[in-house]
Amino acid sequence: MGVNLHVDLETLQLIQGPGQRSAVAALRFKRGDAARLRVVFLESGVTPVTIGDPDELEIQIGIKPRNQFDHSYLAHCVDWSMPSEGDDTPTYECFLSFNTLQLNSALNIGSATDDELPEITLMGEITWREGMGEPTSTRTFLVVVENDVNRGTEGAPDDANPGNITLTGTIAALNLSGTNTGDQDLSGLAPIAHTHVVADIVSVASQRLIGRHTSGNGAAQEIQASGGIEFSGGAIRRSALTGDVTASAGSNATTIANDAVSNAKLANMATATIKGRATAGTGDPEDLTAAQARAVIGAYSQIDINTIIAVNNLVLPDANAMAYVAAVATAGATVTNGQRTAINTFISGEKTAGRWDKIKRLYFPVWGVTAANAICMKSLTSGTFSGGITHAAKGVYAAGFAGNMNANTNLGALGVTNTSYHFALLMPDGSEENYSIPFSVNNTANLNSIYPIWSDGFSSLRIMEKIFSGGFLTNLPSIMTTGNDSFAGNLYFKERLSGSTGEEIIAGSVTLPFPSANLFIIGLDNVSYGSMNHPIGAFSASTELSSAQDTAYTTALKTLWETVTGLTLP
Amino acid sequence: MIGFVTTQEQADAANAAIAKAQTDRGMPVFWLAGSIPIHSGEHAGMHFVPCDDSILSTPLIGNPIQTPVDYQEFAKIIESMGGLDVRIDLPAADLTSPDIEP
Repeated sequence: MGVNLHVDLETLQLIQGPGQRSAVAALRFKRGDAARLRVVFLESGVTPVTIGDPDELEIQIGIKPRNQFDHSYLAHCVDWSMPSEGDDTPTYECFLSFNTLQLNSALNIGSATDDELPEITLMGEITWREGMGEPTSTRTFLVVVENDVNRGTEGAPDDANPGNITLTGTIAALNLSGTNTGDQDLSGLAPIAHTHVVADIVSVASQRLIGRHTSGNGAAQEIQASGGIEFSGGAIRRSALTGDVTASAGSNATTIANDAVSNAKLANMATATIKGRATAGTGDPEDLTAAQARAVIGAYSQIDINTIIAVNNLVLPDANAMAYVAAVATAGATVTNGQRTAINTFISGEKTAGRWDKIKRLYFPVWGVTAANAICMKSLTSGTFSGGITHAAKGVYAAGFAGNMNANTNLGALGVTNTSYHFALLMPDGSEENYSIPFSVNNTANLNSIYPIWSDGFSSLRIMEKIFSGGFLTNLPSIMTTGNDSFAGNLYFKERLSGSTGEEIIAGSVTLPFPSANLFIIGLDNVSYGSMNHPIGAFSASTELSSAQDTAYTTALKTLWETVTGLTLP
Repeated sequence: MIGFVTTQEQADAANAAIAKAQTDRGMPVFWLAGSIPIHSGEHAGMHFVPCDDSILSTPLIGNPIQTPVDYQEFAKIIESMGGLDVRIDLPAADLTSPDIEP
């Protein structure tokens, strides 16, 4: 059965034919048959024309119950043949089946309760679209489908809505061969294993996972492995750990690298504790208290040590004493145990008496070696001997009249001032005459200078503007000292012998500031004739020592010198 | 007094070389030959560098005792000043500063 349809492209109505623009009232078909439709599109209702590129053209005809536009199709066809190129009467053809499940249902065919209808009036529409362009539809036309009388020759009814195929079961159980167009509803399929092999999945770049990293539902995406994850053969694994904790790639066996655990990464410790282990047996480190630590190493506490010292009447080596002994030994001096003890006793005693801090320079040149004799017992700095100096066991003196020792510092730098000073000079033998200038800090042209031991009957003994008579001097070996006693409000000059002390007191204080020139011992800088030609066994420059402190100090100094040299001052 | 009569510059250079010999050995400068201006006599205005036997035998360091002549640098310094034979015996009075009254 063939039906010729003419579409007026101007009015979009089905018309009688070319030039016959009256509308077709209704189309009539017979149920159970497939109607061959030949559609000609007429420009201006007259001239047959094509309606688009056959390769891009989609045409469909649909039949639904009248005025039920949202109803599913009762008959429907999208499979159209296109006219040949150059055809004078381009005609579009399709076979529209009226043997459908939906149409049978509408006619009550097979109904157990309702009688079949003789015919049914439906509505139809032809729609076409070229490519992605907007679709064009005819005006809705009436379609009358008459029930058929002779049956038994038609095939099984089609589904008029193949676009909504519902599949159940499993994909493996279904036959998906052939052509299936439109959306396929696979929601009813059981999510079971299927037979797709990996190679059937869409091609992906090397070393990528399939997943989705973009927010929201959407298409699968390629995901790279990074941030410590890497591909290894057919698997992904954690990359190798480096840094403070290391592990090979893919291994959970981690190792703390050598030297990686800083103090900051250790657990906090209580104050005054150290790492160790006091508990018996092997085990974790512990934070030990001082008492625990001492027990571990078998050490005595300071209290224990003090007790031992007191009980045994011991004298501990003084750090300054050890340092001085080490310095002079390094310089080539030979220091006996007795000498070490004497030095230690002297320095410890000075500290105990509170005088050590007051002493700024103390030279003890009894070692017979220039380098050792130049070392200050207090500061460990070195002076510089110059010229002909004799280094005797009892002390140093100018060999002839040309020689001195530069202390390489000045009194001001030492904090020794005209209001806080003390000088001591131990002279083992000889007189103070012969223009001896044991130490000076200024040139001889300036009478406001420090020549405390210059007793030549001319300049006498002087500290800046203060002059002592020196009438008590005996010209015997002695320790001579001079200093200020601010508490007593006077200046003193003493010559200390073992049996007696000559002393001269001057009231008041030195008002002129001390010179800033370097401190020289034995003689003056660049002046030979005033050098000391009798030994100096010790010399010190200090800040203020009271007269009582001076007495104690010279006693200690005498003991030191006598013990170390093995000689005796009268 | 036995020693070298020289200019102040040469005397300073000799003492600087002596100092360097000590600092080069990591030691402080604990000894110098010294230099004294000559105030009177035929060499007035020059400088005197003491260099008698006591200088040459000064015990600088011990264990064992080493004197200036044990140092190679000192021999060169002596040589630079003309050698020991050019030393003179200078009257001590020539070195006495006029600022000091005997």
